[in-house]
Amino acid sequence: MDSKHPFPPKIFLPTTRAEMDARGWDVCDVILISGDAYIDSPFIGVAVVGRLLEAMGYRVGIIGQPSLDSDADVGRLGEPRLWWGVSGGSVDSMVSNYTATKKFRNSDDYTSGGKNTARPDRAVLVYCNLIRRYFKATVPIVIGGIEASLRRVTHYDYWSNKLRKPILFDAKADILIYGMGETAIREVTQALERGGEWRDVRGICYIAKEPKEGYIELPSHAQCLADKERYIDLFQYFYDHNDPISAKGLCEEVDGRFLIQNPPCDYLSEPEMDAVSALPFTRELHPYHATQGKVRCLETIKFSIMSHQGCWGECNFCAIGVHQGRTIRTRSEESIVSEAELFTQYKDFKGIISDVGGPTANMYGYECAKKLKAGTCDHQRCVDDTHLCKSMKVNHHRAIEMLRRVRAVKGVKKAFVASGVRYDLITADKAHGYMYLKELVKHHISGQMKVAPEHTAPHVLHLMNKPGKQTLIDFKKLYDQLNREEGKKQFLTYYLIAAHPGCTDRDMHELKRFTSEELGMNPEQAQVFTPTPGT
Amino acid sequence: MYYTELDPQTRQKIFVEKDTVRKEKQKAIVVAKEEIRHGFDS
Repeated sequence: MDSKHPFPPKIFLPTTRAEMDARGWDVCDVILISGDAYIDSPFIGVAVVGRLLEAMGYRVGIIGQPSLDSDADVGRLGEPRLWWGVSGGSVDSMVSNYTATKKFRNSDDYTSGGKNTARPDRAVLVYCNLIRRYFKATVPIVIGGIEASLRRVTHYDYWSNKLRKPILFDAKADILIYGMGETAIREVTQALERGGEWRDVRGICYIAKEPKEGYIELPSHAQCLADKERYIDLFQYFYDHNDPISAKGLCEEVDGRFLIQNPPCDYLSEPEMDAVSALPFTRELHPYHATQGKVRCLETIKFSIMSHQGCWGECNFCAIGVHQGRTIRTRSEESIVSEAELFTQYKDFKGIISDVGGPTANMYGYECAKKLKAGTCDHQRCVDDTHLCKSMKVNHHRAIEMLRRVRAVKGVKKAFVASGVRYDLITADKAHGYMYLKELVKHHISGQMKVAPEHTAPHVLHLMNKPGKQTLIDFKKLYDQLNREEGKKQFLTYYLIAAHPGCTDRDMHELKRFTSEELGMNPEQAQVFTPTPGT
Repeated sequence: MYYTELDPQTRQKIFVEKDTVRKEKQKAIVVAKEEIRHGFDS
């Protein structure tokens, strides 16, 4: 922990001029604007960007959910010296604002008070316009976060039911940083500081007059509009060229200009992952917002630990693999234990860690050796609806040991694993899968475990890229057996999706028959499929 | 897939439910309360 900071950390990045004055700053180097309230947590991208830049010695201000009718908020920290950063927030603003059936959502977990009153539709575009309205000829605007990242090439927008241009052609921004982007953020900042060229930085997109030599030229936006198969071609290139080791750069012509997508920036190494996790997050909502009430998301993320990034499950309805990448980046056990120890310093920590996990909890601590060397395979997935690649040696040993160390921390009563668990990986790991599940059943769940079969119809599972129902049946037998052995009466609950492409009423009736006859339960919840950008 | 109504691998046409009411109906089918006949423990 940086000795400049109290322990546990209490100092936020400035969101008011008074805080800048207190630090003796006349100007910020970077100002970040977000569709979320300013929540200083390692789970919130804007906070991570702010803390990363702070650690590099830059002066960073954060403005959460600025008002749109004046410059009172967007102008309250002045104009930054190097760049503006704009994010729609932790969730695409259209997903955040509307349900799968396009009804407005009244609640918002990232807005103080919990009412969905502060996040505009298409927040990235709106905030860029807001900056341009009040700051003419200003420093570069850099957009990032999931909304910008997944809309970086031509994409289907469910809410307007049409293909939209790459977001840089709609947003009045200069640079788009895609994916997790930690390395790109550093390099873009350093390039702007030098007044030098930033167009070669990996992990960014920008607009150019000409295509870039050596880059793959995607079908143009006009071709995608005219022919759905060309759009599938575009998506396939976009999906395949997403790995820092193997990806090539991409270009897409839009109305006579070109979107240039440089290859992805390098993933963080394990020590770098640890260093980011050790940044001095307060894990609180900034007091500026707190007058309007709490943010609901802190109930789950305040005392949670992110053990790794990335997911190679490649469920076709999920954008995590595209946004975070398909290679697991793991934190060290020491770093995770340190974070658990840090929790015990907080007055409001009751000994309960809400989650130790990642996009898929049981991908911690192992990866395919071939992928680490050569990058993701172009036309071969690590796992699909029928097989697990032989090169992926599933191994829960490190996860078991890590969880044991976390729950042994003095002051920790319970460390839940609430992130999704791939049950097919448990049954595939003959050496350690049984012990991993035993440890979960005994120590890391409370009453119920959530799993995500999503469906049972083979043709729907194939389109989802999810494993077949026999895997679920095998897992359930093992889960029930372990609960009997441990003398526990714990249940399984299931994530299910309705109206996924390929799914008919008949398929839903078969799913209902399966849940009642073979799982012996009535599902209380099912999610109507939302086609989000990047899926 | 939702937009193209094509399987991206085979490029064959697939059914995609696009009507909001019928989407909700698909959901209602699986969450409907009914008597459980038999099953495993959990």
